[in-house]
Amino acid sequence: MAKQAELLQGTLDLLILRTLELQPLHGVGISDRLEQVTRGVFVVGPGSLFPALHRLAAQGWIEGQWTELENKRRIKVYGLTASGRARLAAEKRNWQKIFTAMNRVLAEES
Amino acid sequence: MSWIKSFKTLYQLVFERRRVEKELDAEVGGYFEILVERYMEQGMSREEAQRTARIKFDGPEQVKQQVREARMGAVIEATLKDVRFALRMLRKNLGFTAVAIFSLAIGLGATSGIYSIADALLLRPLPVPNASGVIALSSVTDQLLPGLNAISYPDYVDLREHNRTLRG
Repeated sequence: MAKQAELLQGTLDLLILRTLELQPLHGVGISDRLEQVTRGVFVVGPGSLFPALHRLAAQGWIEGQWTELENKRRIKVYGLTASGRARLAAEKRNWQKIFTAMNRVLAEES
Repeated sequence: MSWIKSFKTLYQLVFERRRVEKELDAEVGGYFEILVERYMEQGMSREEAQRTARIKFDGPEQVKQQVREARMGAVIEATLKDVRFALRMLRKNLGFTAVAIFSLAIGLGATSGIYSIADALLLRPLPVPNASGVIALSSVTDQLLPGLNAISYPDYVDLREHNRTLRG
């Protein structure tokens, strides 16, 4: 596993929303997807994932739905709501702003 | 906005505690179950797999506690946001605020005023000694204005002077 980076405060929401934009997923699915896409840089454990999921659900940005798998196991699959989509767009713009500003500071010639 | 949602969360927090807890338990439990199965596929025994999952991440109980705190926090945050928003709007529309407060004041004042009168007239006994012994007298005439059955002052004096049935 590659070295893990510390998650920036507030980026977890964006990561989750973006992951759910592609397809509805349950808890393990979200962790797996994030770990895969970031090649193991972001490992989101249940201790931060579930509180974030419930916080996002309370805001109405995502919605949980109980689904039954073939092996009779019931899992809660989260999907993006309409307001979640709007929120994601806003967070993406915000992130772009931070990203650009950060890079400008770091690229400044001394 | 999101106030319907936060009301729902609050409702669940207060009235559907058991169901929410059960769901949370199933959700977090399911997560750990999947992890444990993965470790078992790697050749661990069930106990070993459970222990590894617990060591790698927080235990299910801690996770659930963190979720509870996050939910509570979201409700409080949303409520505070609504209150702040309301206060800001009130300050922005001073005219509206004044009218609203004025109508509320008038409404409350009128209601309690009317009630005080009704209370004194209808609900409480008359403020005299032996209030239940007080009677109302009226005269009956077969002519003139119907409904006008007051007693004239001379009649009253007569009644008072010659009364043997009533006290006072």
